Amino acid sequence: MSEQQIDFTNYDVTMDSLPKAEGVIMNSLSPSYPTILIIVTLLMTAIPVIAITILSLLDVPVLIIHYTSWFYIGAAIFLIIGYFWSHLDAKHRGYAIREQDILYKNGVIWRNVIAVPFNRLQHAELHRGPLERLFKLSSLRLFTAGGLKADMTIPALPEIDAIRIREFVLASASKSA
Amino acid sequence: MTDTPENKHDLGSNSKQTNELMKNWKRLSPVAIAYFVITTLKQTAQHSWQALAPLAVVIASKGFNIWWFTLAGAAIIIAVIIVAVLKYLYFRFSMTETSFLIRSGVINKKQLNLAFDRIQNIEIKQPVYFRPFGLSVLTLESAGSSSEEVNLAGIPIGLANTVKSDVIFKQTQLMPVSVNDNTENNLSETNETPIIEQDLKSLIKHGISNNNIWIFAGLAAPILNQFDESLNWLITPEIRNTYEKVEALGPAALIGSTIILGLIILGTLMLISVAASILIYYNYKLFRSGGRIFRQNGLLEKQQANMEESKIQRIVIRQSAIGRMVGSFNIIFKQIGFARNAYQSGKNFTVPALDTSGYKYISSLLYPGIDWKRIKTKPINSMYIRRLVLITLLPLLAIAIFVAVQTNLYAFLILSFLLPLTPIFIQRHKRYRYALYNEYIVMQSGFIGKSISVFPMYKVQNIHIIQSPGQRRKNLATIKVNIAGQTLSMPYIPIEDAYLWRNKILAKIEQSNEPWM
Repeated sequence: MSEQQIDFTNYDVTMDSLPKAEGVIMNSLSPSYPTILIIVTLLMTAIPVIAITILSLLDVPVLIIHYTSWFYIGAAIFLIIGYFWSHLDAKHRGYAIREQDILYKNGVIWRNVIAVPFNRLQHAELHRGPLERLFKLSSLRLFTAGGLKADMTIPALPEIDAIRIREFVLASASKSA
Repeated sequence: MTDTPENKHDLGSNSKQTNELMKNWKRLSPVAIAYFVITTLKQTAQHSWQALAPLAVVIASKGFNIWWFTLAGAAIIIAVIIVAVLKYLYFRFSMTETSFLIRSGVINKKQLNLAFDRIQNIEIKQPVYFRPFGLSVLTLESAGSSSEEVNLAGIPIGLANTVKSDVIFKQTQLMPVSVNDNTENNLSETNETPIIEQDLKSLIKHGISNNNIWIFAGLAAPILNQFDESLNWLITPEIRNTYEKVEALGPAALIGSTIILGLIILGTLMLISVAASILIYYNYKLFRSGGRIFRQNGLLEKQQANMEESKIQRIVIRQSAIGRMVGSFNIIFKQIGFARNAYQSGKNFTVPALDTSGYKYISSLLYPGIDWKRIKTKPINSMYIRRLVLITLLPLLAIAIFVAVQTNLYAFLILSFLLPLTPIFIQRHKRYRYALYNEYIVMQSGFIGKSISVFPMYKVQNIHIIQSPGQRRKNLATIKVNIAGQTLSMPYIPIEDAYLWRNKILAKIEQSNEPWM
């Protein structure tokens, strides 16, 4: 701290001269993202529905087979909501890359915007799940020293974009470090 | 352990190649077995007391068989000793010019390579049972995870001191002179004047105000509950007689004596806490030199620890509820630590029992430019209270309606549960305060006590701004600031403030090239 005292500055920053993060225009994710979410929802409902159907066909004596019709209605409602929700969810996600940092927003009800300065980036990785591979997409995961898991995960980026963003982010990180 | 401290300099300088070639693996002193016994017991107790609690229930329900109990206890002790001996036999360490190598593990073998420049904390402890042998425990912590922590138990105190000054020397080669002063430090004496010295009176205050007694009481209560039935043998005829005598005096006497009993238990807990405080923090001294902070303390187990000031991520000024009454604060220097370690109090660097001027002095030493008189903290929006009330009201209402349908309208009396809760929410709301002051962030939270975090903006890793639908309507937001491994949040602040914080912090991070670590 004693060395820091020497070059200690205390300049005042006025509100207007600061670059503003709130006005930036966010890029949306790949248009296939809702489709991926819908497929995931389908799979999520399919597994219990199939299980229940098999149980009731085999007449296994568990309590749940008395409610199969209710269960099917519930699954149908879940699918319909899931369909609209997937579109809403995708609509509320977006990212913006600025000179010094990257912003990512998500959340339909609770809207969350996270800002990661390139200065603080520990590492970046591209991740391709099986569904993403099908649509030629990647997710970009950025890590700061903030936690144990990725601090920012941008899903469903077209592969070329994802690579280019990662290159830019890493180059900026090493430049500013 | 006959190795002299100079031995490690004989090792080659090119560590990567010499690691394998020059295996100068050393064992700890056999006295270390005692240390392993104690740590194994501690670890088992820490990790499995929850698992043991059901066992206690089983014992209690099956009847308390003293023989079986003794047998089980003996078996556990023998097992622990065997484990400790094995741990000792399999523990080897060696040093190169640039790093520590440790081989350990009986079943899962691991080799750890801890580079000197990644060591964040060095601590030397001298437990009572090591003192006659001139041995000590050297703890090395790295910036990474807790699994990269090394405890060298049972190495000569001289070697520990040399290693410590060596590592510090390698880390701060800029100032060899001032560091050399510190290498002369012994566990008992220092030639510098401390910036803080704690006397017995403030330690007693610390013991009284320490929250640990409540934690202890909280942990002990359920365990005691489980023993409840099997404790019948404790009730001797004498006790029964006294109880009957008191009962004969009427209900007032019964209530009165219960209160007195409670106070006696509380008093005992406080005495234990005061004793613990004196044991741990006796002769507490805090020094500061060459960009490092040193502390030494301890009555039976003398501890000495130091850390680099630049590695402090934030300082927390904490005052417990009782601390408010006796005017006692603690300052905790938080380093990089992930949630798992956060509550292991030993890992944090605590300055106990400070008064108002004490915490102001330390914080202004560490963070030049901090002036507590000029920091104007702001309260958060009162919508926070309404939101908490709503969140508790909804489930209560659901239960009330459900019960009302089954019985009658008196069920809505359930809603009166909110009455005692609301003051709690109001009090929590009152404790939340925040401020930006120069390049520092000040965030306060708490309930009756409070905890104020102070840190420079450039320590921030990333920032979240979150808005619920209600917050969007009222132009409010919750801001979450991530500093290495720790998240601090401030709920229900005006959105303009959240934006200002984000813009200022981002600008500060992006302009500053001060290393955050």
